[in-house]
Parts: sequence; structure tokens; C-alpha cells
Amino acid sequence: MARPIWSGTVNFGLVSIPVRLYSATQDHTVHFRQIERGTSDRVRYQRVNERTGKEVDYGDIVKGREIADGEYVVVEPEELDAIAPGRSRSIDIDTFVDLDEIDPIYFQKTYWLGPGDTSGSRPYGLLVKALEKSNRAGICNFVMRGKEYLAAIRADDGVLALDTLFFADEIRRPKDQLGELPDSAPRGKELDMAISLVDSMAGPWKPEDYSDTYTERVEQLIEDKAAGRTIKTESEPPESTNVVDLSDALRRSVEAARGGRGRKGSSTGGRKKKESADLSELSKSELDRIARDLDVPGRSKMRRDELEKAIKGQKTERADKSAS
Amino acid sequence: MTSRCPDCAQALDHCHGDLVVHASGRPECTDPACVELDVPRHRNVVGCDALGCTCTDAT
Repeated sequence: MARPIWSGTVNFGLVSIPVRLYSATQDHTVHFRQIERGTSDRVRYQRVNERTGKEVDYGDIVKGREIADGEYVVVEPEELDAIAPGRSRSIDIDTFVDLDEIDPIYFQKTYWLGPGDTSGSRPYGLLVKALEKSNRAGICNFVMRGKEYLAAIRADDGVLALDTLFFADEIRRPKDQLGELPDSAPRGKELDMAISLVDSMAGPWKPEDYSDTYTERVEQLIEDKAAGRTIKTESEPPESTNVVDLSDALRRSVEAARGGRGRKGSSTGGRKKKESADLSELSKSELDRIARDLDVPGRSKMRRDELEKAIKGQKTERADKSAS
Repeated sequence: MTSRCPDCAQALDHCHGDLVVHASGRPECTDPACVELDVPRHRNVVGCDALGCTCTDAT
């Protein structure tokens, strides 16, 4: 079981529920180590005392604000937590809002909020059900590791989920970022054609259909370099549509989409093609994905050669079953 | 594990590295063993300019 990143209580009305906070998402970006070019020497950061030049242990670092030249007010982590005595140990729900009212731009990151102990399981279950039925989210503030968070607590998959939210003053307005806003007035039948294109490409939201192809390519690049193979480079992206050709581009896009060629599925065509290729030519990340699709047991702990063998075995097993 | 760390004392999942946030929002941790580049796991979150990175100049 994962370790919580925070623990405390959720309070709504006079009800207090002990809870623990866990990450609900994980990043799968390839994590590189920093190496000095021309060597295999790792580069690392050190926290060094500027006067002595010696490394300082994490536990001996405190925060300081300079109030005069070389004069600091020093603040201990416990002191920062202590000035928010309630909010660093509890989450107080101020109000319940309709979940659909929250603009997606405010959502930051999702965490699972699990029950802290068995004594709170009844009120915990009650809050889950109430939020599920009302489609509302509890808005709250709390402090974690010296930072205040605005959050929304909602029901998800039978448990509580906590979404950290941006504060209103953290949202940048488009005009401030983009400068002049584009002239968006459509001409003639362009809007109808654009809507037609959107409709012809419409489909259900299936997150499992999407994979991080860039990370897969980075893994492939590493494998190719390690094996001394030639590096494959991608072709240049298509040029942006000329405004004069917009109607024509829309018409051809609608035709292509209706013919099934413009659907996103076309990008997975390459994936299917690769799957049928010799497994020995595939990267570990590609084998991971195939193993996941085939539901190969214990795949997460397998090395590349083990994955290849397990996939072959699973495919043979399935072929035998369908033949019998 | 550090004796003076309140998060270690509570056995909470956290990181002792500094989370460095670049101009694009991409985070990087100074602890190579960091398993999750998430702000709430770190007590020390700094802008990349603190480490001499100049990517903020481009924005």
C-alpha cells in the first residue's frame, strides 16, 4: 500500500472524518540522469553552506527572510505549520458547489482521499454517497508543507477524490498572454463545414486509446543508441493551412473523416502494424503496451526478454483456445 | 530519514530534494531518487532561476 502524503481530518458541518491523502496520478516521463558530456560522471546538486563550503543536511536547513543586510528572520517548518493550526491538520469544507460549475482551467491535480482509520468509515461512506447523489463538490482550503491549497472534494469510483484547484488570481487571461486575440468571425459556410468536420470526428472519450508516443520514442532512441543501431528521425510536420485554402481544406477533411481516414484511429494504425512485426524489433515500452493489452500477468516486473517470451506464450495460448 | 524532519516523523511520503520549476511549468528535482515531481511532496519549491537556469528569460 502506498504511503500517504498528508493525513488529517475532513470537516463538514459538525462531522469530522479522519483521512489520508494519496497521489491519484503518476508521471511516466523518462527520467534522465545528468551526466557531464564526454564522461560517465553523474552531476548532482548539493546544498552547500556558502561560508564553509560544506554540504548541509536536509534536517539542518531552515527558511530565512533577509530583513537587513546579512540579518535574517529564521523560520522552522513547525512554525510555518503552527501559524495555520487548523488548516495544516484539517480540511474544512466551506461550501458545496455543483461539480459542473467548476471551469476545468481551475483543476490542478487529483489525489485520493482515503479513510484515516476504521472509526471514520461510516461518515466517510456517507459523504461519498451524498456527493455522488448530489453531483456536488466540497470546496475547502488546507495547508500542506507550508503551502495553502484550494481544493474540491468529490466522489469518484466509490471513494473521495480531492482536486487541488488554482486560486482565481493564478489564472492568466487569454488577452494578457496572447496579446491581440485572433479575428474569429467565420466566413460563408466555413462554420457549418467546421461543425460538420467536428461531428464527423466525434467519438466517445476513451483515455486508454491514447498513449505517450513521444516517451515511447525516447525509450526507442535509448534502446537504439545502446544497441548501436541507426537513429530513426521523424518527418517534418505538415505546414499550417493557408487561409485562402481553408474552405477546400475543410471540405477535404470532412470527406476524409467520413471515409474513415481522418479519424484519430489512423494514428493507431501504425501501432497495429508494429504489433504484427517481429517482437524482437519492438522497444520495451511497446512490449509493455502489448502485454497490457493481452493482460499478461506479472508484466510490470518483467525485463524486456521476459516480456517478449510472455507475449509469445499468451498469443499462442489465445490462438489455441480460439482454435479449440 | 532525518530526525528533525516532521514528515519523516509521521512516516509521510515526501521528498527532501528541492523541486525546481522551469518557466514552462516542467518540474525537476535535485534529488535523483525522487519518485514523483509533485509540489506537495516537497517543502522546498524554487524557480529554476535560483539554480542559474535562464529559461525564464525566454518567456
